[in-house]
Amino acid sequence: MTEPPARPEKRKIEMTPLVLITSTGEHRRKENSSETFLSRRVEALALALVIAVAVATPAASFYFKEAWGIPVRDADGTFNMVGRDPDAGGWSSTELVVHLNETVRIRVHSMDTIHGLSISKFGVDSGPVKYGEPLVVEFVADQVGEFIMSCSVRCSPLHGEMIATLRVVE
Amino acid sequence: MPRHRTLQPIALLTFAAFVVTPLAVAGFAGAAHVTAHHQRTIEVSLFQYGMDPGVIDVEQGDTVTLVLNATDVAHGFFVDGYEIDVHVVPGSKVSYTFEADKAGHFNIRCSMNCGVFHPYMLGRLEVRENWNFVLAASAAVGLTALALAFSWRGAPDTVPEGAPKT
Amino acid sequence: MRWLVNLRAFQYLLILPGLVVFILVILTGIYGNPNGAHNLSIVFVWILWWFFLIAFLVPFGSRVWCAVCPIPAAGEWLQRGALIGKPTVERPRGLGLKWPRRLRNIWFSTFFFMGIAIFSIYLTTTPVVTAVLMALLIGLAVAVHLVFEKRTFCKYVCPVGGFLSLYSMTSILEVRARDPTICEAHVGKECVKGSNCGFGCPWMNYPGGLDRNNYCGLCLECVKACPYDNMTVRTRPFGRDLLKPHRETAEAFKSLIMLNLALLYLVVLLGPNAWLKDWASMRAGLPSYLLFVAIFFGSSLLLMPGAFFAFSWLAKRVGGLKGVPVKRVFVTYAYALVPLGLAAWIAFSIPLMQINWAYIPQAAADPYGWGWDLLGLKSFSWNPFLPGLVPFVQASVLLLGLAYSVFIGSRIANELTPDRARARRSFLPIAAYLNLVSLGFLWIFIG
Repeated sequence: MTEPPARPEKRKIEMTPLVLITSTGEHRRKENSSETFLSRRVEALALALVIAVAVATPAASFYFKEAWGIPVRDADGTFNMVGRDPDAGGWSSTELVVHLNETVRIRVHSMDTIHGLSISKFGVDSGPVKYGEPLVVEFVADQVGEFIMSCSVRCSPLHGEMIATLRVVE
Repeated sequence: MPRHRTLQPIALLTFAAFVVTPLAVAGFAGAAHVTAHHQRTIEVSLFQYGMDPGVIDVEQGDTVTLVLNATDVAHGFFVDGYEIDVHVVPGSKVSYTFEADKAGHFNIRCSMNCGVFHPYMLGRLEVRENWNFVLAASAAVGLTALALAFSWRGAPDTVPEGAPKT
Repeated sequence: MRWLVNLRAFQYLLILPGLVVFILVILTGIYGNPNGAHNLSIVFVWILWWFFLIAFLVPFGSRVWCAVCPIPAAGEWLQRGALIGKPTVERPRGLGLKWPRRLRNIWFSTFFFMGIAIFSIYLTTTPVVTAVLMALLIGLAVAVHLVFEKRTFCKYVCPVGGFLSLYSMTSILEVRARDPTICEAHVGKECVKGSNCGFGCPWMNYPGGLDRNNYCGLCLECVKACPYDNMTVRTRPFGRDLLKPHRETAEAFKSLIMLNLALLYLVVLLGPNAWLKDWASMRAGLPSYLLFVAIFFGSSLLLMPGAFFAFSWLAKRVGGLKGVPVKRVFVTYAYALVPLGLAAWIAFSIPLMQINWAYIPQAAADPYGWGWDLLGLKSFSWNPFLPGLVPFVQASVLLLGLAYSVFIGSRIANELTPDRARARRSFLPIAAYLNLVSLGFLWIFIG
């Protein structure tokens, strides 16, 4: 087996620097007049890109706020109740309207702390709901009238204000 | 008999006894749970934004029952390293029992978003090794070593010929 | 590699993504979910950016964040009159004033940082506070760029700049002239004055003579401008700059202040004492908050430096450093604390990521906390990663920092006296101080 080539002597503390940008040490010419015109076009493009981004970001955000958000009602008829702390908006819908003897499905979401949906008249309670882990409650609306839907988990000092209404009509 | 020849074994034995032994016993005790077991029940209240007591002190090997009580809003009780994750809602206390078999320092965190300063709602579980046992055990071994060394200190290495065997 | 750096648009392309995120940080902070855990502004700034900055960018990339930071971008573009720019003659817009001579150090940045830090508990949990701070910083940066020359904001004003400056000394990366003899013979000095290819150093350095990382923002204009291609970006052993005999009181104090603040944050914010947090958050009333502020400034500017001064005096006595004033011993040895300080901050920051990493994909899926679910990333639920290892990871990082501080410090000792034996002796009290401080940290991490 042949001997590997001898390594250069390394000083005790120094390590051979890993040079990421090498330099040649030679004088080089960089004049190029045609580049001025190119740069004006490039500048305009760069500026346009920055302005586009600065405008598009808020515009897109607000335009898609609802579209990408959670719909009030899914295609299959399930209601979505999004719970937020009372000082951040409370329930996403203040009133849900259903028909008598309809099978009601409600998916309960929490957007910040822990919430839960309770409709005491129908004995419905979702239990604690965490962010990103919605829970579904299902029941039959077999009585006509207006019923209170409240938050079932003490979520904040204003927890008692987190109320919505369920209206069952003929 | 020259004194230094008997001093070396004494020094070595004492060193082995008092340094190596405690370490070995501590490790063994930790691994085999050879410590006194106590039953402890500790009431912990959880609130925005902390716990009371902030530091839970128990001994290794104890059977600990925590009675968790959320006083204002829903909180979580998550203990690093012990894989405890309990949800506590105001109005219903939760009892959780576990064996404190791992010694050390374990952070306790709130695992249910409880409000604005939720990330800073922290506590600590301290599981102390039973040093009394470790110290006593090492003292026992150390004393044994000293006693032996003391007893052998004047003894010659070989029995001289003709001397009566004792 | 070089063609990429020579590309005039290189910096712009690096800044653009950061600018998008920055705009989002401000928007989400103001219009988004007020609960910080589910808002991009808190998660991306105080978990994602902070962790990568302190644990990777600084030790491995020096002040490379400054090259991509979006805060000075708008101001610099306005000042240059160009986003990418190919200057023929450099004529900056704005007043181009010079920063006052007495403030040409990190004192301003240090006090600015502390002034913000006393509101940390709100800043790191309440989105609108982060958003307002970012908006104010960008406004301030634009103003400073239009009044003062070049990157005065980054060099002397930015609150982050102070500790980036100090901790970049520990880095493994540097920008230096490859062959100083070329610079000595060269009259044109395009690296300072600018040329067709690159602006003159916007950090007001002389790149040819650059020997410390502290004020180099890795914008690489000098690499573009130098007609001899003499500027290189290369590695060197960690912490090399700490051995340079350039010693400033401001930097010495910053070293002590940052070390103290790491301790303070660990005890107040990450400790088990709810009442301390109530002091810091004003929930316990204004008087206790003011007491907290007093402790904050008192420990940072008086207690910690005072204790170190005592040990420096001991160092002088023990080492018999007759001709050396205590103040010089104090300032010189304070640099030995830098690796430990950085290690303490890294140890502080690692659990942020280990415990709360899941917030990052959640925030990417739903930046405003409005209920979006982009890219299906919301499926990650809060799930600490190996939380039982946190104390050991923290202790290990700290011990590494201690080892390096002792190593570097014992080398720094040689600067104070040519007598090796005295130098060694004089370092012993400092090593004791390092150990005492480390014991404090270790007690908090693993005790």
